[in-house]
Amino acid sequence: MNNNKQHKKPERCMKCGFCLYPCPVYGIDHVETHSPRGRNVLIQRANKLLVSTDDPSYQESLEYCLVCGRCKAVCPAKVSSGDITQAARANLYKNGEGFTAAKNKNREILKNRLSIKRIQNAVSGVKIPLLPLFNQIQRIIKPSAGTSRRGTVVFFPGCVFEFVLTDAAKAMIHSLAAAGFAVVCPENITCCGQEIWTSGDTDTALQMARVNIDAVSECDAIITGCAACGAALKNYTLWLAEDSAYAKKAESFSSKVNDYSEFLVKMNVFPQRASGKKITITWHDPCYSKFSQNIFSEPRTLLESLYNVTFVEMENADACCGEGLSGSARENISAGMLAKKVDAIMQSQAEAVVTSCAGCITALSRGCAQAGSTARVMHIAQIFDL
Amino acid sequence: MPPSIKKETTNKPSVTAAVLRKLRTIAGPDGVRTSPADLTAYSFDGTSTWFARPEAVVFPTSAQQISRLLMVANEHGIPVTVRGAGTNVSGGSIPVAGGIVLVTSRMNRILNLDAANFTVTVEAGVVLHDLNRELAKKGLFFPPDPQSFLAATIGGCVSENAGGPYAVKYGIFKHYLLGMTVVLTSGAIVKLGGATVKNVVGFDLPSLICGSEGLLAVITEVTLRVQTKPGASRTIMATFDNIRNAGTAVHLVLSRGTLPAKIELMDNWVINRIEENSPLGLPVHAQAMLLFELDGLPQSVAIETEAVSARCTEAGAIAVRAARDAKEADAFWAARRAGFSAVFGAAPTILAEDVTVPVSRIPDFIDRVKELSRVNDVTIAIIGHAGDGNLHPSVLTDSSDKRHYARAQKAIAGIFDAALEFNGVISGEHGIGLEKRLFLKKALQPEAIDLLRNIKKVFDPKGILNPGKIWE
Repeated sequence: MNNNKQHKKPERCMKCGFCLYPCPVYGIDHVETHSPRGRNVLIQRANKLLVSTDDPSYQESLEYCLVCGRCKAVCPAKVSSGDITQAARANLYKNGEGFTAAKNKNREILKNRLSIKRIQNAVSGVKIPLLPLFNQIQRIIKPSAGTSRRGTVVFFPGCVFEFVLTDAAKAMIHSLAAAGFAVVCPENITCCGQEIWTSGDTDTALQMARVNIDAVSECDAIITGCAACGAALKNYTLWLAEDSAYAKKAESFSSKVNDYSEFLVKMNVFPQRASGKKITITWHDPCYSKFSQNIFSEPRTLLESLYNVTFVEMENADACCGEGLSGSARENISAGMLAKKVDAIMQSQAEAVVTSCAGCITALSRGCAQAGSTARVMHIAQIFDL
Repeated sequence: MPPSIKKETTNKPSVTAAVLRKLRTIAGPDGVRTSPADLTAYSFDGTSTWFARPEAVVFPTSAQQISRLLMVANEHGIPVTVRGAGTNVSGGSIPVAGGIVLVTSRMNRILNLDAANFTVTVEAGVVLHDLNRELAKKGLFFPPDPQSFLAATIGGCVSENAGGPYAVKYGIFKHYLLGMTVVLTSGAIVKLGGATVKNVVGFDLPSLICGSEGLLAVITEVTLRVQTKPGASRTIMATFDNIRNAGTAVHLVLSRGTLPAKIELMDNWVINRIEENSPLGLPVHAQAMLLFELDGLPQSVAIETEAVSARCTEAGAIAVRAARDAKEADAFWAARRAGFSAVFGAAPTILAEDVTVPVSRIPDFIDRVKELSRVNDVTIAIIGHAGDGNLHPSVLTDSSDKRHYARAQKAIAGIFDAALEFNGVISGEHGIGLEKRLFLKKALQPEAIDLLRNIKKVFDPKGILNPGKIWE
């Protein structure tokens, strides 16, 4: 995310159309209304009151943005269309009808962390364990016996890894302990706020950021295994830049955040598999990993260092899985995007597809199951146990 | 048809509920969009200020659907504006008379790549970059390179007879056009041309459609000639402390037996933006920079590199640098893109022109542009294809600042006058569309414009296809 205000002005868009090329959504239905350029024009006109923000078709067009950043990467004028869409959504939350109800639902998570479980039940197709993560393990994990102490890290699981994909969370924590790190999982953290921010409820997202910043005390690094969470936590600096009470704390917090793969490679930690069984695997680049954090070589470095593993690149490893859409866009576009990914996975003939985002794991699991593929979908930390 | 076309127009509705039902039957429920947001999203193109709302946006997936759509439109006299990706910069995709926007983007299949015969047949909605990616798998490439290639569709490129930096050596779209399938307003689906380079069977109808800006027929398929991708390439950068020397360098290079694949020129404004955004260590007082690309066999590229470098030095270049490797060459071209892209952040409204003058008049023309910039007190950045005389002077302005905008318009008019004075043309690549309509009568005799009108009547008697474009 860039902080340049000029790049977030829709008027800066010169309508060259380059953004149509990498946009995963436009690539499915070829509808300009669902493209960065189309939205830039709509939002520009809405700002000038030439388009009514109450118009349902305007509100619907905003749903079709993944806020993935591919458009900004190719834009000659460096327009950040994802930020422009997010700001337009935030405008709806401030002024639109029906958005108060959505905001109240988002606030529930702040009031009661366990309300996440209900949401996950509704959204994911993944089997939900009976116990949340911290009913299965302790919050403080000592470095493994026989390792030299390398420091203390805070582990930020994120909602899905805490309540649904608990095996992946445990795998991450154990590998960090095995590398000599003490792992601390703070009590009072809440949702990272990524989806809340992206959907436009910036007030609630900022509240979540403040809670998380307050919950984390001294540590050498903050590790997260979910690319979406990582992108959010690294953005707290930007989100809270105008908050005089939190700006400095946010900067200090964000500067410590590391994606799990990013951290392992930085610390020269290359876990090995316990089993000697040969296996073919492939990697899926989450949008929030490659395009938001520029992390795509570290996971490959880790995977390619594994013994008895054949690493194959699937076609378009960095194509979006489609899970990040909601509303009409989710109904109309997500399935098409997921189908392309599942095709690529099956064509790669990999026995396991590895990635680092809770949303992606959810989508790819569902897609592979529906397509009858035997490929296993997992977090990168789980490959060490395979 | 409105008598005068304002920048933002509204029209009397012509797509009734009954017509809409017919459109939905033909294109399917997913193939017709009419929500307010959709209509807004199809009201603009790559031009800065034109805006006109259609009444329906239709996404056909076959020539048969287009045939039935045109028959319905023709029956009811409904305007139809065809659109690929809407990247054109002359207003050709703007539905100024309302009616239907017919989008070809879902007809995006490459139908037949005949590598043995060096031809490819594609649906009109194929994106040019996608075509080249597919061709590259077989060691082939399609030379004409309008810089909108990431988004522009083949149908759109043919309709504007597009070209780009490779034109100096490789030519433009019409030089690669072998045949096409079009749909007429009568609904007839007609094959034109063929699949061979030599083909003189009746009037050259594909060439007539090429550059007709969507006014004559709807293109559904195109057969193009392709080439083997050259084995080697090299990029050379030369800077000059005055424009005349740059012009001399181009002349010397072209007249002494070398034909570079690209010869791109940038002026002092662009040079300074390059140094701000992706610095190459260029002298910021340099008045002109030339970027040459040579391609072919490795042996000939090596010889040509030396020859071009020597000619630039002979012409008085401040510095001549041949890129050491592909990485450095990429850096030179990326810097050029960054320098030009800087135009689009530099002012709220950019009026980018596209005049072409004989190569030998480039220095005179650039001097005239500088004078216009001074006299009208507006900034004009110049980038151009020095090899064929096609220059893009861009006037930086703000359409909401009436006085400044008026001065910018004056500068533009001066640019057109200069082009014609130097025996050139007012549009080399971008087409006339809406942007240059009022200047057409300066460029063509009345008898020539009459020919355009009469040919249009043969193809489109009711005048439903892309009304309001090219001539008044």
